[in-house]
Amino acid sequence: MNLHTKSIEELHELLVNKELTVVELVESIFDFIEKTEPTVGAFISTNKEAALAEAKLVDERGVDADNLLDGIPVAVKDNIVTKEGKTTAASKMLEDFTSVYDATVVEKVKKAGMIIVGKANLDEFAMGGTTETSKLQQTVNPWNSKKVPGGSSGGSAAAVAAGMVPASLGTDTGGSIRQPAAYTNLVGLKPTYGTISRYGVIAFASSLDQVGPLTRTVKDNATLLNAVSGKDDKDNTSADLTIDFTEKIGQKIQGLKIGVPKEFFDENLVEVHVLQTVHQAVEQLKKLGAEVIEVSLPHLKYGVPAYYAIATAEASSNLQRFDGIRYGYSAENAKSLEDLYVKTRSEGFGSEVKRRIVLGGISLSVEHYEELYGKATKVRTIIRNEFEVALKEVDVLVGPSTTTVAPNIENKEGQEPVEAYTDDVLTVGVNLAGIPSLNIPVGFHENMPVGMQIIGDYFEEATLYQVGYAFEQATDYHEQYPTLEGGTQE
Amino acid sequence: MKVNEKMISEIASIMKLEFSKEETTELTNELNETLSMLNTMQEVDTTDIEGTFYGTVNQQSYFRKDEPHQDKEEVKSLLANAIDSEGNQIKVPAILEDGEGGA
Repeated sequence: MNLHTKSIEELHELLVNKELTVVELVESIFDFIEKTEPTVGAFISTNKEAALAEAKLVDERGVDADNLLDGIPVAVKDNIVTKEGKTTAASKMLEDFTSVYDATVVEKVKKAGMIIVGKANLDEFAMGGTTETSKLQQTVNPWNSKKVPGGSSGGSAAAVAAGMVPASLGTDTGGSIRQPAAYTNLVGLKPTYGTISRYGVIAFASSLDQVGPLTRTVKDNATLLNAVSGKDDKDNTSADLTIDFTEKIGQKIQGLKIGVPKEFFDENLVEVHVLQTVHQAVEQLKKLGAEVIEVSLPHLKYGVPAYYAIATAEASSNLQRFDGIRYGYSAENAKSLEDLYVKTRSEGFGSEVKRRIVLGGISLSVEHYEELYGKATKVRTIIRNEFEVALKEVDVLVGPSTTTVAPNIENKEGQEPVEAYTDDVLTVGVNLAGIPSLNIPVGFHENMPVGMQIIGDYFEEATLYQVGYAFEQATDYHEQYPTLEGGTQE
Repeated sequence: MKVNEKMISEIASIMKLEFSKEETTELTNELNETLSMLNTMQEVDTTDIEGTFYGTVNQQSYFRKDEPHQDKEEVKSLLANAIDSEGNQIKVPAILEDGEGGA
């Protein structure tokens, strides 16, 4: 039986019908990881023993037929802390760090009966869009090992896309779930800010960071969101929600108003084949009865400068906690406390992280605050207002998630930082506005996946899933799987 | 808006980072390119626009009571992550350099 392309829903049925035990599932997953991981490099660490012990417990008590997630394996991005094993943020700074506590999302997946298989690779401290800034290992795109998996949640995406796990958790500060999901043919959600507790998520930019699920299907995604969302006393910005995010799944999209922001379909910005593929997806939504309306977000392009002025400012403050004293890397031979701080941080952080800390320092400096951080917060207001106005006129907005399909690993390495930053133009606006956006697979160009975002108003994830599910039912892109080199895919 | 190597060194020092001369030159060049991209924000008219500082929908900051709690096991694990410890305290290198007063 090929378990590696199955959805959570399909695995659940096998478990409930006793065609498969949780132990068998977890064993099969680790056998598969052993074969594929040397090529893919999705995991910074795995814990077979702990996963099997958990699996045995679920088998003993019996899989809950009413809980789709019971006994289902999951991968967790390694900037989300777990008591079990290490949490590294893919940085030399935390290479040997073990958390004292579980993040709230980790507690929640465990409570739902899910089995954590391992910790997924990422760009160092989630800063990057290719997972190449990871200081611990390289992850490749399971669709083509010469291509990047995207980032920063590249390991979380590659693990699901390769068939190692049916679901994973990532984080999205400026596109870090949607972009890798688009590059690897997955469903990935950046929820409304506040939907999921950030307690135990290593902070990058606190006003932008959100955790979210990556899965093979829309329904799986909504199911996992239900399990990990909700008010948490340990994160005051978490929202008190009583929403069932699956409630609109299966409802027709007849008459739904879908906005197409012309700035997302700019030929000077987005590669022509990506545009064609997304245009076809919009046609499909029309066929399903949706009303397509052109809208405009004139300040979208200013999202990139505003994002980098704000995200780096917040990062420069958040990363001050790494001092070489309380946890993490400590430099040897420091002469004084000051010397310890400077040596630890200079040796422990990678170059992209240091670049962003310094940029954040400039953004907040007395000389440049008004034109950088201060200006960016105002541009953020304008972008937020534009999204709000557009989403009053239509139910959802759609557009490409990325400007190209996944680029080659070599190409990105030689790219100037500023070029990599401008690639984020289609994703960062959503983070600045705080609204949700769902990436779904909508086709291929030269055998590489293309993704489309469905963007909605605050806490309207259920509508995003409604549209995504309708599209998924009418197409079979989500049922395409990569053939990993070496022929390991059964 | 442009930065020079002197300013980069000053900011680096505030951020408790140090760079070699070559690194400083490279970083200054890279950041100047990034800053010219960031500078395009000046094209946007933001007269009378309030800044957005929070991620939350209602633009509020939330506060909670800062209540201490103690868990002996937790203290043990916390100290295990620290550079050095003595009793229940974290031990750090000398704050004063060469016996001179600091700030």
